[in-house]
Amino acid sequence: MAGAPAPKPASATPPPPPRSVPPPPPKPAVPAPKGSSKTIKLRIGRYRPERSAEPFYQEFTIPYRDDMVVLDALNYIKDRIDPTLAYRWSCRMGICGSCGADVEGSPKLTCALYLKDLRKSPVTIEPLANFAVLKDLIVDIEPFMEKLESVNPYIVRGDEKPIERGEYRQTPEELELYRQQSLCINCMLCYAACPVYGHDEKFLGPAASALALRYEMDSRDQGSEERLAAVATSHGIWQCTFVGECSVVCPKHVDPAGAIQQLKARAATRLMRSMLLPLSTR
Amino acid sequence: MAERVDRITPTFWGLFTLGGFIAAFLLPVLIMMNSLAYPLRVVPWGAVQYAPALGWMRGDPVVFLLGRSAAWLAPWLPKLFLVLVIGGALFHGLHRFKYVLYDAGLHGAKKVLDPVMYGIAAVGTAAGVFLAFSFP
Repeated sequence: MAGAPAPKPASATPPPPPRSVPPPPPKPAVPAPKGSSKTIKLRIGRYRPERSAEPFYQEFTIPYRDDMVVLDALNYIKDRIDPTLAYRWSCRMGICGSCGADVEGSPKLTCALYLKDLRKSPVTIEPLANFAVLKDLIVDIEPFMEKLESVNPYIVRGDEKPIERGEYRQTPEELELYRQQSLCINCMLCYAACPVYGHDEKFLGPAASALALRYEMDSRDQGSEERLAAVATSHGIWQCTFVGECSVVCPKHVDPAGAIQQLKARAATRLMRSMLLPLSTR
Repeated sequence: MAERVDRITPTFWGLFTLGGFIAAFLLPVLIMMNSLAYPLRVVPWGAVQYAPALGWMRGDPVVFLLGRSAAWLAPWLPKLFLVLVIGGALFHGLHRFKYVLYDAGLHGAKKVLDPVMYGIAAVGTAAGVFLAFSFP
């Protein structure tokens, strides 16, 4: 329902411009894409709690070139058509993990998805599913940050050696054991894709589990016991039904689904050992 | 998030993984040998006769492989094999099916699905034990 809220009397925030207007005369900020004869219609999910409690969709038609990604389109809209559009982005090269959004219903990094590869018209762009929306395409990442913190995502040492005695050394083979999980950029696409997280917001989730495995597999770490205890709770790894969609959408091929199964195997082994050999410590 | 470590789910998950291993490796062999190989004439007609087959069920290969000293094991291993194949496949399949039902929208019914699914698996395994001891 796209009921246009009454514009505020204050002149500080201009009223929303009419939909689908041709771009206004060029401003110096962003030149119009040169050689762009093609146009694309985008349908963007919007939510502005300070104006209206109802989220709505707004359509924009913009010119584009083949080398433009979805994030370029969002920047074009913000710079040229509607400066009130809110979304997160930073690096434009798939490493900061902040520009995730649902494009045509599947979570994507908007900086890594070319407009020319989108077939539908209009292209629907929405905030990441399964998250609380703060404004337009911006979701609340606080619960995610708490989940990351809950798995002790740092090297835990039982015996800390003094700095003079140097670093904890590691062979390339030992590094290789956890390198894949260490590539996570915290873009949260896996949470948007996870049906289990969709119905249980307390679920630890894919990225935090992969992060836990990253430290589990680290030869320098000695905090396995507490970390496994932290992930093997009733809202932890056992909730995962191995749908595997997290690993499908992961832009860095971290394979969180596989990581969760590895954690399950480790936690189950540990539990069996503690039941069969109650006196052994590890 | 200081929550208690879940001890029950991993137990059933252990049965699920173990059962998956058993089902993947043993079940196809059993189905192939019992239900497909002979009717499709992969094994020639007449090659399977009652007396040697009964000998297999009684564990003759165990004696052949391990010698006479393992003769006491012989009648038990085929029974154990049957119970493991049936029970393992059931615990594996019903756990997976339970998760399929969760994902299909029955996640609210966890309290009902858990006992029903694992109950079916337990009853099926008991039936497998009964079957295994129903031949000499």
